[in-house]
Amino acid sequence: MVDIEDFLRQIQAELDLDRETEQEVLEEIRAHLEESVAEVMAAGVSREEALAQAVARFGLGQDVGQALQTAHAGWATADAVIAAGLPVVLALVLRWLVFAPDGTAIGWRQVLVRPAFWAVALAALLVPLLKLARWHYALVSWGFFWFMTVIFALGEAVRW
Amino acid sequence: MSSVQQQMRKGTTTVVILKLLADTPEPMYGYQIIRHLEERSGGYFEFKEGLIYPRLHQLEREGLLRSRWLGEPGTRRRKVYTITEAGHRRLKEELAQWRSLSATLNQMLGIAPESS
Repeated sequence: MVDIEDFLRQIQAELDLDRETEQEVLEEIRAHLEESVAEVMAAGVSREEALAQAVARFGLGQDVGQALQTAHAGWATADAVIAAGLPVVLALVLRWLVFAPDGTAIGWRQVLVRPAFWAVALAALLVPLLKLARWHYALVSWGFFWFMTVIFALGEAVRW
Repeated sequence: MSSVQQQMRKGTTTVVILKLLADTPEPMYGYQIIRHLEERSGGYFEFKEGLIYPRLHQLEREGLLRSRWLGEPGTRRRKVYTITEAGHRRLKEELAQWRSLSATLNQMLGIAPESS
Protein backbone atom coordinates (compact mmCIF):
# COMPACT_ATOMS: atom_id res chain seq x y z
CA MET A 1 0.00 0.00 0.00
CA VAL A 2 1.27 3.48 -0.91
CA ASP A 3 1.88 5.78 2.04
CA ILE A 4 2.48 9.54 1.81
CA GLU A 5 5.34 9.48 4.32
CA ASP A 6 7.06 6.61 2.47
CA PHE A 7 6.71 8.56 -0.75
CA LEU A 8 8.13 11.69 0.87
CA ARG A 9 11.10 9.64 2.05
CA GLN A 10 11.79 8.68 -1.59
CA ILE A 11 11.94 12.37 -2.45
CA GLN A 12 13.98 13.21 0.64
CA ALA A 13 16.56 10.58 -0.32
CA GLU A 14 17.43 12.71 -3.37
CA LEU A 15 17.73 15.97 -1.45
CA ASP A 16 20.87 17.43 0.04
CA LEU A 17 19.59 20.75 1.36
CA ASP A 18 19.74 22.53 4.70
CA ARG A 19 17.31 21.03 7.18
CA GLU A 20 14.85 23.93 7.20
CA THR A 21 14.59 24.12 3.41
CA GLU A 22 14.20 20.35 3.17
CA GLN A 23 11.39 20.31 5.73
CA GLU A 24 9.60 23.14 3.91
CA VAL A 25 9.88 21.35 0.56
CA LEU A 26 8.46 18.15 2.07
CA GLU A 27 5.70 20.05 3.87
CA GLU A 28 4.65 21.68 0.62
CA ILE A 29 4.51 18.32 -1.16
CA ARG A 30 2.72 16.64 1.75
CA ALA A 31 -0.01 19.30 1.60
CA HIS A 32 -0.32 18.75 -2.15
CA LEU A 33 -0.68 14.98 -1.80
CA GLU A 34 -3.19 15.26 1.05
CA GLU A 35 -5.35 17.62 -1.00
CA SER A 36 -5.06 15.41 -4.05
CA VAL A 37 -6.11 12.35 -2.03
CA ALA A 38 -9.03 14.21 -0.47
CA GLU A 39 -10.22 15.32 -3.91
CA VAL A 40 -10.20 11.77 -5.28
CA MET A 41 -11.85 10.39 -2.15
CA ALA A 42 -14.62 12.97 -2.50
CA ALA A 43 -15.54 11.18 -5.73
CA GLY A 44 -16.25 8.02 -3.72
CA VAL A 45 -12.91 6.26 -4.13
CA SER A 46 -11.28 4.40 -1.21
CA ARG A 47 -8.32 6.07 0.54
CA GLU A 48 -5.95 3.35 -0.67
CA GLU A 49 -6.97 3.82 -4.30
CA ALA A 50 -6.99 7.60 -3.91
CA LEU A 51 -3.42 7.51 -2.58
CA ALA A 52 -2.31 5.35 -5.49
CA GLN A 53 -3.88 7.75 -7.99
CA ALA A 54 -2.44 10.83 -6.28
CA VAL A 55 1.07 9.38 -6.25
CA ALA A 56 0.79 8.23 -9.88
CA ARG A 57 -0.26 11.74 -10.94
CA PHE A 58 2.55 13.27 -8.92
CA GLY A 59 5.34 11.35 -10.65
CA LEU A 60 8.22 9.21 -9.43
CA GLY A 61 9.62 10.33 -6.09
CA GLN A 62 13.16 9.90 -7.39
CA ASP A 63 12.52 12.13 -10.44
CA VAL A 64 10.81 14.84 -8.41
CA GLY A 65 13.54 14.72 -5.74
CA GLN A 66 16.31 15.05 -8.32
CA ALA A 67 14.52 17.95 -10.05
CA LEU A 68 14.07 19.71 -6.71
CA GLN A 69 17.72 19.20 -5.82
CA THR A 70 18.74 20.67 -9.18
CA ALA A 71 16.40 23.65 -8.68
CA HIS A 72 17.97 24.37 -5.30
CA ALA A 73 21.57 23.55 -6.23
CA GLY A 74 23.82 26.53 -5.72
CA TRP A 75 21.22 28.34 -3.70
CA ALA A 76 22.57 27.17 -0.37
CA THR A 77 26.12 27.51 -1.66
CA ALA A 78 25.68 31.21 -2.38
CA ASP A 79 24.19 31.69 1.07
CA ALA A 80 27.06 29.81 2.65
CA VAL A 81 29.66 31.96 0.87
CA ILE A 82 27.98 35.16 2.06
CA ALA A 83 27.43 33.77 5.57
CA ALA A 84 31.07 32.71 5.83
CA GLY A 85 32.58 35.74 4.10
CA LEU A 86 30.62 38.42 5.89
CA PRO A 87 32.12 37.84 9.36
CA VAL A 88 35.61 38.04 7.87
CA VAL A 89 34.80 41.32 6.15
CA LEU A 90 33.18 42.65 9.32
CA ALA A 91 36.18 41.73 11.43
CA LEU A 92 38.53 43.55 9.04
CA VAL A 93 36.34 46.66 8.89
CA LEU A 94 35.95 46.70 12.67
CA ARG A 95 39.67 46.44 13.12
CA TRP A 96 40.07 49.52 10.94
CA LEU A 97 37.36 51.35 12.88
CA VAL A 98 38.34 50.38 16.41
CA PHE A 99 42.10 50.63 16.28
CA ALA A 100 44.10 53.79 15.81
CA PRO A 101 46.92 53.70 13.23
CA ASP A 102 49.44 53.04 16.00
CA GLY A 103 47.58 49.87 16.98
CA THR A 104 45.93 51.10 20.20
CA ALA A 105 42.20 50.60 20.68
CA ILE A 106 40.39 53.94 20.57
CA GLY A 107 37.77 52.94 23.15
CA TRP A 108 34.01 52.67 23.32
CA ARG A 109 33.09 56.33 23.41
CA GLN A 110 35.07 57.21 20.34
CA VAL A 111 33.84 54.15 18.48
CA LEU A 112 30.20 54.85 19.18
CA VAL A 113 30.30 58.42 17.88
CA ARG A 114 31.78 57.46 14.53
CA PRO A 115 29.12 57.43 11.76
CA ALA A 116 31.20 54.86 9.90
CA PHE A 117 30.75 52.46 12.82
CA TRP A 118 26.96 52.73 12.65
CA ALA A 119 27.02 52.41 8.89
CA VAL A 120 28.90 49.14 9.26
CA ALA A 121 26.56 48.03 12.05
CA LEU A 122 23.58 48.67 9.78
CA ALA A 123 25.22 46.84 6.89
CA ALA A 124 25.94 43.88 9.19
CA LEU A 125 22.21 43.56 9.74
CA LEU A 126 20.83 44.54 6.34
CA VAL A 127 23.20 42.70 3.99
CA PRO A 128 22.39 39.22 5.31
CA LEU A 129 18.75 40.16 5.83
CA LEU A 130 18.37 41.10 2.17
CA LYS A 131 20.74 38.59 0.62
CA LEU A 132 20.25 35.41 2.62
CA ALA A 133 17.21 33.16 2.41
CA ARG A 134 16.94 32.80 6.20
CA TRP A 135 16.33 35.86 8.37
CA HIS A 136 17.99 34.30 11.41
CA TYR A 137 21.33 34.30 9.54
CA ALA A 138 21.07 38.09 9.75
CA LEU A 139 20.71 37.92 13.53
CA VAL A 140 23.77 35.67 13.74
CA SER A 141 25.72 38.19 11.66
CA TRP A 142 24.40 41.04 13.83
CA GLY A 143 25.39 39.17 17.00
CA PHE A 144 28.83 38.42 15.59
CA PHE A 145 29.33 42.11 14.78
CA TRP A 146 28.61 43.18 18.36
CA PHE A 147 30.67 40.36 19.80
CA MET A 148 33.66 41.44 17.72
CA THR A 149 33.06 45.10 18.66
CA VAL A 150 33.14 44.25 22.36
CA ILE A 151 36.24 42.12 21.95
CA PHE A 152 38.06 44.82 19.99
CA ALA A 153 36.94 47.80 22.07
CA LEU A 154 37.45 46.27 25.51
CA GLY A 155 40.15 43.73 24.94
CA GLU A 156 43.32 45.72 25.30
CA ALA A 157 45.29 42.56 24.68
CA VAL A 158 43.81 42.18 21.21
CA ARG A 159 46.35 43.44 18.71
CA TRP A 160 46.53 42.53 15.05
CA MET B 1 1.30 12.67 -25.07
CA SER B 2 3.25 13.19 -28.31
CA SER B 3 6.85 14.34 -28.32
CA VAL B 4 5.78 17.66 -29.87
CA GLN B 5 3.37 18.22 -27.00
CA GLN B 6 6.06 17.29 -24.48
CA GLN B 7 8.55 19.74 -26.00
CA MET B 8 5.90 22.45 -26.16
CA ARG B 9 5.02 21.89 -22.54
CA LYS B 10 8.63 22.01 -21.41
CA GLY B 11 9.25 25.21 -23.30
CA THR B 12 6.12 26.98 -22.17
CA THR B 13 5.75 25.99 -18.50
CA THR B 14 7.43 29.16 -17.26
CA VAL B 15 5.35 31.54 -19.33
CA VAL B 16 2.04 29.83 -18.52
CA ILE B 17 2.79 29.87 -14.79
CA LEU B 18 3.72 33.54 -14.92
CA LYS B 19 0.62 34.35 -16.99
CA LEU B 20 -1.67 32.47 -14.62
CA LEU B 21 -0.28 34.25 -11.56
CA ALA B 22 -0.38 37.60 -13.36
CA ASP B 23 -4.06 37.08 -14.17
CA THR B 24 -5.00 35.95 -10.67
CA PRO B 25 -5.34 38.61 -7.98
CA GLU B 26 -4.98 36.13 -5.11
CA PRO B 27 -1.77 34.19 -4.38
CA MET B 28 -1.98 30.53 -5.41
CA TYR B 29 -0.44 27.31 -4.10
CA GLY B 30 1.03 24.53 -6.22
CA TYR B 31 -2.04 22.32 -6.33
CA GLN B 32 -4.23 25.24 -7.39
CA ILE B 33 -1.76 26.25 -10.09
CA ILE B 34 -1.81 22.76 -11.59
CA ARG B 35 -5.61 22.56 -11.57
CA HIS B 36 -5.94 25.99 -13.17
CA LEU B 37 -3.38 25.18 -15.86
CA GLU B 38 -5.21 21.96 -16.73
CA GLU B 39 -8.51 23.80 -16.77
CA ARG B 40 -7.22 26.66 -18.93
CA SER B 41 -5.68 24.27 -21.44
CA GLY B 42 -8.75 22.05 -21.62
CA GLY B 43 -6.65 19.09 -20.45
CA TYR B 44 -3.90 19.66 -23.05
CA PHE B 45 -1.52 20.91 -20.40
CA GLU B 46 -1.29 17.73 -18.36
CA PHE B 47 1.97 16.74 -16.74
CA LYS B 48 3.41 15.02 -13.69
CA GLU B 49 2.25 17.23 -10.88
CA GLY B 50 5.40 16.90 -8.81
CA LEU B 51 7.45 18.63 -11.48
CA ILE B 52 5.64 21.93 -10.90
CA TYR B 53 7.50 22.41 -7.60
CA PRO B 54 11.06 22.45 -8.96
CA ARG B 55 9.85 24.97 -11.55
CA LEU B 56 8.14 27.16 -8.94
CA HIS B 57 11.23 27.07 -6.72
CA GLN B 58 13.45 27.93 -9.67
CA LEU B 59 11.25 30.89 -10.62
CA GLU B 60 11.31 32.05 -7.02
CA ARG B 61 15.07 31.77 -7.00
CA GLU B 62 15.24 33.91 -10.13
CA GLY B 63 13.14 36.54 -8.38
CA LEU B 64 10.18 36.11 -10.73
CA LEU B 65 7.91 34.73 -8.00
CA ARG B 66 7.58 35.42 -4.29
CA SER B 67 6.27 32.87 -1.81
CA ARG B 68 4.92 32.88 1.72
CA TRP B 69 3.31 30.35 4.02
CA LEU B 70 -0.33 30.61 4.99
CA GLY B 71 -1.30 29.02 8.30
CA GLU B 72 0.55 28.38 11.52
CA PRO B 73 3.46 25.95 11.93
CA GLY B 74 2.18 22.62 13.21
CA THR B 75 -1.11 23.03 11.36
CA ARG B 76 -1.73 22.28 7.70
CA ARG B 77 0.04 25.16 6.00
CA ARG B 78 0.13 26.11 2.36
CA LYS B 79 2.92 27.81 0.48
CA VAL B 80 1.44 30.37 -1.86
CA TYR B 81 3.07 32.17 -4.75
CA THR B 82 2.65 35.61 -6.30
CA ILE B 83 4.35 37.14 -9.30
CA THR B 84 6.91 39.88 -8.70
CA GLU B 85 7.61 43.00 -10.75
CA ALA B 86 10.53 41.16 -12.34
CA GLY B 87 8.10 38.34 -13.14
CA HIS B 88 5.75 40.77 -14.88
CA ARG B 89 8.64 42.11 -16.94
CA ARG B 90 9.74 38.59 -17.89
CA LEU B 91 6.19 37.68 -18.82
CA LYS B 92 5.95 40.69 -21.11
CA GLU B 93 9.18 39.69 -22.85
CA GLU B 94 8.14 36.03 -23.14
CA LEU B 95 4.74 36.93 -24.59
CA ALA B 96 6.34 39.22 -27.18
CA GLN B 97 8.73 36.44 -28.19
CA TRP B 98 5.88 33.95 -28.30
CA ARG B 99 3.79 36.17 -30.59
CA SER B 100 6.75 36.64 -32.89
CA LEU B 101 7.56 32.92 -32.99
CA SER B 102 3.93 31.97 -33.44
CA ALA B 103 3.48 34.40 -36.35
CA THR B 104 6.66 33.17 -38.03
CA LEU B 105 5.71 29.49 -37.65
CA ASN B 106 2.20 30.13 -38.93
CA GLN B 107 3.65 31.87 -41.95
CA MET B 108 6.14 29.07 -42.60
CA LEU B 109 3.48 26.39 -42.22
CA GLY B 110 0.94 28.26 -44.32
CA ILE B 111 -1.53 28.59 -41.47
CA ALA B 112 -3.72 31.65 -41.79
CA PRO B 113 -4.13 33.60 -38.53
CA GLU B 114 -7.56 33.07 -37.01
CA SER B 115 -9.78 36.10 -37.23
CA SER B 116 -11.02 37.19 -33.81
